[in-house]
This record gives sequence, C-alpha cells and structure tokens, in this order.
Amino acid sequence: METLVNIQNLTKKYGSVVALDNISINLPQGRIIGLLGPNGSGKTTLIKLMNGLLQPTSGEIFIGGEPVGLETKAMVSYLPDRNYLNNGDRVKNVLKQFEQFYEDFDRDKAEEMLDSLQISSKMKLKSMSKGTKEKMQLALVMSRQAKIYILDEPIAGVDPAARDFILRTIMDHRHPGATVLISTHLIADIEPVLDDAIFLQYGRILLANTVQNIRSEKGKSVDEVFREVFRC
Amino acid sequence: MLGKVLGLDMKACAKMFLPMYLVAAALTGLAKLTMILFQHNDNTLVSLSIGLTMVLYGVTIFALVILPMVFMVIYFYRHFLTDQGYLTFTLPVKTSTLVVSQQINGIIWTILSVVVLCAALFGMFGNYIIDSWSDIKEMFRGIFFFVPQALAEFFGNKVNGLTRILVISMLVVEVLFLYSSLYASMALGQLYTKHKILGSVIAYIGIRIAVSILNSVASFVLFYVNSVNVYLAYQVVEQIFLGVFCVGITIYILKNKLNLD
Repeated sequence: METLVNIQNLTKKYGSVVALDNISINLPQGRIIGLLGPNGSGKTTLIKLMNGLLQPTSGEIFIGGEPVGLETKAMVSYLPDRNYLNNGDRVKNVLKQFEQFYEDFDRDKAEEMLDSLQISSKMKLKSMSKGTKEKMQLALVMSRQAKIYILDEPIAGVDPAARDFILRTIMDHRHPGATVLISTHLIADIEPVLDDAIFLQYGRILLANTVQNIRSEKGKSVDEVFREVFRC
Repeated sequence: MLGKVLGLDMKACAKMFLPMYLVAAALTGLAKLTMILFQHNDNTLVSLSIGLTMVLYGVTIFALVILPMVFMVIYFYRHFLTDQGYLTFTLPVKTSTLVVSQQINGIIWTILSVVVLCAALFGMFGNYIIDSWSDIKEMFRGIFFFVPQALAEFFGNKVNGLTRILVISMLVVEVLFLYSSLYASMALGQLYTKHKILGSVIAYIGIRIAVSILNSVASFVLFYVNSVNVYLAYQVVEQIFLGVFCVGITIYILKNKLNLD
C-alpha cells in the first residue's frame, strides 16, 4: 500500500508539557484509519499539526510527499471539532467560498447532500440547529475530492441517529482511493467502518495495526481492547 | 488569490459598514430636515426634537470616525483568532496573502468611511458655507493649504508643492500603520494562553509607546534641521517602515506561532 502521510519523529511541546512525544508513523492511501485515544492523548494536536494550524517543536510531516503547507492544504479536507463557518453567512455564500478556494470542491455533490438534509441555499447559518450545522460542515468537507479527509471527533455530541447518518455520509461520499482519518473516543460506533486503528496516549503511539489483526491477535473487538488499554 | 481573498473580506465587512452608512445617511437627512422645518420655531417640544436629532447626528459623525477601526478589529479577530480561524488557516492560501488582504480591506473601508463622513458633514452644513462651485474649490484649497501652511510656519519655512504631497502621503501611511499595528497587537496577544484580548491591548499600548518615543527623539533631532519637508519625509518613511514591520510580525506569528483554542 502506498504511503500518503509520513510522520517522522514528531514532537510538540507547550512549554514543559509534551503533547506529542517523538511519534513516527506512516498512513497508507485509501484506508479508513481511526485515531483513538482518551481526552488529552494528543489526537487533536496531531490533527492540527497535519493541517498546519500548529508548528511542530521537532520532526516532520509529509502529505503526498510534500511538507505541510500550501500544497498539502489543497490535498486535505478537514473537519474540526467545532463550527468554523461564519454564522452570519448564508449557505449559498459558503458554497461559493468553498468553490472559489478549493479546486477539488464538487458543488453539485454538496448541493445534493444539503438537499437531502433539507438545507436550503438561502438559509442563514445562525437559523440552523447545532446538529444541522455540523451535518452541513460534514457535507462541505465530504464534497471535496481530497486525497485525505481528516475528521476530528465527527460523532461526538450527536444523537445515535445522527451518528449513523454521519458515518454513512463518510463512507458513501469519500473520494475513491482517499484516506480517511477519524479521531474519536467513541470506538464502538466507529469500529465497523475502520480498516486501521492507532491508539494514542500521553502523546505516544501505543498501538498501530489493522482492525483485522487487532481482533485476531487479541480475540476481542477494538472497543474492548481500547477499554482495557485505557482503563482508569 | 489576493483578489479572491480581498473580495471575500470586503463582502464580509460590507455587512457591518453598509448598514452604518445607511443609518448615517438617514440620521443626516433627519437632522437636516428638522433644522430646515423647525429652525425658526420656538416651541419647547420642537426645540427638544431638534436637539435630539442633532445629538443623534453628532453620534453618527463620531461613529463614522471610530467605528471603521472597531469593525476591522472585530473582523480580524473573528476571522483569524476564533473558531473561524480553523477555516481561514486551512484554506490553500498563503498567510501573507491573508494578512495583506486585511490591510487593504481596512484602508479601503477607511477611505469609504471618510467619503461618507464628508458627505454627512457637507449634507448638514454645506448650504451654509457653499453658494457656488467656486466656494467648493476654495474650501478644498483651504483644507490642502491650511495644514501644510501651519506646519511650514512652525518650522519657519515656506509651503511648496512637495510639502502638500508629503502631508497627504503622511495621512495615507498613518492609516496603513494604524491597521498594521492593531493587527500585530492582536497577533501578539494570541500568543498568550489566557487573557488573549488583554495581551493584545498591552501589545498595542507597547507599540504606541515605542513609536511615540521614536517620534519624540526624531522630532527633537529634525527640529534642528529646520526643514518641514525633511520632517514630513521622515514621518512618511518611518510610518511605512513601521507599517511593513508590523505586517511582517503579524505574518510571522500567524504562520509560525498560531495558537487557536
């Protein structure tokens, strides 16, 4: 399998606090990868570093052979764990913005997904519920024909029906051959869709393997292994 | 790419500025109409109404001077340093392009606000001082002569064309430095983990104090050169240099030390 993301000796410190501690890993192309760990394990820090929102203390990240920068931002479709759109905007303005700045943005696909969510292009974001805004953001992110989708806690804080919708959207609308990196601590919901799993704790990688191997080696589901490994 | 980013920024800021301009036009019209209709009426209630509309008009003028700066600070803060920053800084756009667009955006809206301010003043008082086109020409001549004249007399010099050009240039670069120092302050403020807004305010005060000290020293030295044009040229160059320096600081911090929550 070809490597899409190459992380070498990556460390991130905030003063004396080590958020990521010398991690090295390769993420292959075309796989659905779970970045799993409890709160404070370094998942969001790693994701921010991959998106250029933070600079590493040391080490490097390459995506598609390029160091994190302008070129990789065009390859990565990122869904943060918060609302990052301007609440004062209308849906059609947001669609236009994505179309202007992302060459790989498929507007027709986005509009189709928004129609299925009964979101009109004339709607103002501030008139939407939190859940609807999250679904809208997901639709925008999945409408890009990106090389990698990085989704930070996409199913946290939503009801089970919405979780199913989100996971279906991810599976149905990712660009063929693209990698999907999903960070979460809700393992049971996400496990059925995962190909690979990375366990992160205190900024270090505890485990990185295919889901199939984890199940066959441990004789347990990934969720059960997670609960065991991260037992308080 | 700068064009796309600037278009986006200007559209977003239009939502703040255009309503303000409409309100300014409406309040100017109301104040003027009140003056025309009731200026010779001694009724107490009417006098109170005139007073109220004039107060509103005064607030409008004040707002046109102050609010452009406030709006641009709010826009920069929301667009770069809140959750919206997660979108702004993951767009495939250079940080320098994003920051330069903010500068240009600020300058354009300031110029437009000045035009609206002049229109509001002219709309209210124009007919008292202007009877013909030659009066308008005299008024502009007065504005562009008065300040250079006053400065030149301070230095014991005579005004020339260069003096007038330098005065206008100085006003323009002041706007450049105003926004670049505000943005640099906010970039410096976000380095703090807590109390980022307080950090920005402290940074801004620090920048202004540093510039004041620099200006005081320079003024002291340049006074002995005894040339208004040299003094003005120094001010223009200094403001340009400081403006570019602040833009550089902002770009560096947002590119390398971004600290979104």
